[in-house]
Amino acid sequence: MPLAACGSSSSGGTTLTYWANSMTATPTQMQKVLQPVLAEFTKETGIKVNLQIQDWNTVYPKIVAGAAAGTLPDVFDTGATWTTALQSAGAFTPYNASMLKAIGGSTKFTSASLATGQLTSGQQVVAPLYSQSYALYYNPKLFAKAGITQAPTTWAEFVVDAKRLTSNGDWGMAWAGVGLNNVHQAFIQGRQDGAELFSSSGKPTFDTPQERRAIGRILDLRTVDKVIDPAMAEKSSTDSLTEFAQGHTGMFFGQGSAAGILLSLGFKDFAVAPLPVDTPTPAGGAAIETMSAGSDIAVSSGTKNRSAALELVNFLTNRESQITLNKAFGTIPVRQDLQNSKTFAPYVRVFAESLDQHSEPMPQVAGEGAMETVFVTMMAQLWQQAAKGQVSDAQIGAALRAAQGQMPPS
Amino acid sequence: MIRDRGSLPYLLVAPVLVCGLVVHVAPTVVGVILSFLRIGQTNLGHWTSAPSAGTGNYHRALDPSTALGSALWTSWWVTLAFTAIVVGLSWLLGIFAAAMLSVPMRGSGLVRTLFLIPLLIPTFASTIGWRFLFSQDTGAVNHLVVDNLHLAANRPSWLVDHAFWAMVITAVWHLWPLAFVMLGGALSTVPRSRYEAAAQLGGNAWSQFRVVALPHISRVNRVVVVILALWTFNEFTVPWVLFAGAPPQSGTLLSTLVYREAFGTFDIGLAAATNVMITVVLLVLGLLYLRRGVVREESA
Repeated sequence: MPLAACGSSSSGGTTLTYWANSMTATPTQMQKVLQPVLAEFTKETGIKVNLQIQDWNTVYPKIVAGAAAGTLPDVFDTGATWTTALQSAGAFTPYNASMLKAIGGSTKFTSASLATGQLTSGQQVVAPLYSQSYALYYNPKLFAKAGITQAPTTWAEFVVDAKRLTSNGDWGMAWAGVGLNNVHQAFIQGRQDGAELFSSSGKPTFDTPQERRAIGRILDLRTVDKVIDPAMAEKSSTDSLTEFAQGHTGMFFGQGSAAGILLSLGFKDFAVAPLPVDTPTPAGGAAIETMSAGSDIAVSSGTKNRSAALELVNFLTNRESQITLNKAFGTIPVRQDLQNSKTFAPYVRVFAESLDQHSEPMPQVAGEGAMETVFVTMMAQLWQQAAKGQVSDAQIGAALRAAQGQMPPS
Repeated sequence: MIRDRGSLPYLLVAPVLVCGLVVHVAPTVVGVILSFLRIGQTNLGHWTSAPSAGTGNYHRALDPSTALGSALWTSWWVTLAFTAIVVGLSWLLGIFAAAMLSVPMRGSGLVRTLFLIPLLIPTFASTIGWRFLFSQDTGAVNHLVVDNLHLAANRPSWLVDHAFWAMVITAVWHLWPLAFVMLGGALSTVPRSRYEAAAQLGGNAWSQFRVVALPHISRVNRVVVVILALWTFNEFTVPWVLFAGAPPQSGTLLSTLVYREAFGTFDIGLAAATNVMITVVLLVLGLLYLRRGVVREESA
């Protein structure tokens, strides 16, 4: 990539504001990873970047409110699952042909990652930044201790293995009651059982027998199979990682960025396998292991520095930046030419393959963002009910209907 | 001369009136208007052109047969109970401490400072601390109750099974120093001579307090109780931070419910309607309570 002379960019001298979602254990670490990359950007283009780190659990309403008030930054990270919802909130400047050219053209990216930034019409509204997917993390030492020779591939095998791991103060599975991980699993497990959370016209259809069965399987891990520590009901997503990193829990479901966090905690005893699938998948079920996850990067609708913003997007998706950032976070690069690169850790292959071959995007409807919010509360309250005993199919149905009742009228 | 004096006071008060209108009244009026509109994340930016919802938001909020409505009614009772218990406990602790410290003694300055510490720490910071304290497996509360004092065999899950009481304990910890400060100030206005007179008539400390102090501070006390009750009713930080944004039903106060409606699902019209109803109820209750005091005083 040709090095431009200092300040030779046509937008040199402007300052961009950039909201980056934290991919590391702490915002401070995120700052440490991004600052050198952004400093290099400033050196090459003369454009300064005012970086603000955001938290995944709180940034969605910030973006919606910012879009409404016109206070969005020039460039911001957005969740790959939020594209349609945020487009309906007016947060983005969609990518026309010249904008796509400015960031290197669509062939630069993998088709899976590009798709996360598109509406169902095919219009590209945000560019991919990091790809993520879910996989099974397990502790090989605890596996060996329990006599398990290979990672489970089906849900039934997974439950058997989790039970074998649960003994003498060790637990089979770490699963925090509060957080987005529950939303993602409600979707993934639901799709495996054939559930559709929205109708074809975009209206919520949460309470279906398929979705009830999927959530029932998840809650049974606590109530029937008893492989989850009761204390996990009150904990939030990152606590699953710290539990696992104590070395006394055998497995958890996590995205690629969890590996980066485990390593930063000094924990190396982990391996990665594809997420177990509920086999045989019921009629209408999809054998997916993950939703198409990750981060996209948006040029906000109100930006006054569009060309500078595009230069930043282009920079963050060039070879050097993608290698640096994805290695630091444990995520999958979005560039087509880095897909089989040996510079990334071997476990990234597992995530990349799941994303490439066994993934589906989350529902691409305007209500998807609200769905994630109500599902966080719904799952947290279901885990609290599970603390008292097995949660019946009818109770799960009631919770799904209650969540649907909280969706804003569409 | 009289005419000159007539316009000057108004001119002097005008800036305050304008600021008061802008800061207090205008947002309230906007809130009432919002409650009659259909607003979601798609038209949030241009809400002035949002379609009317008529009384639809109010119907949705109040209908007990829907998930929203029943959540609102449950939350209403939870919030009432929470307010009554927290204000009651804070008042009792506050008046007790204030009465004890109204007698000058060695170390009372230090004790007073210690009591004020919860007031000095930002609520969200100390509530994060309480979240750790209440943690089922590693929290200090369970360590004390189960491991040291052996009061329970199974480690109770404070943040799940006893969420309401965890919230109450945290809120009382924050609120009682405020009650202590305000009531202490009120108690200090009671003339010494009255206590001496009561003592001469044969009263002990308790009857002195009941007959002399309480009636004397009753007017201030009324205002203190209203302030504490309004603050507690609208308490948001404690339930939100204590349960990491996902409170169980027994821990869902009206404030967190409205926040979720407004900034979780961006159902702004519904949130505005809920807020209007809460405001009306609080206004009526508060005014009734204060007026009852005035009436009682005038008839005394």
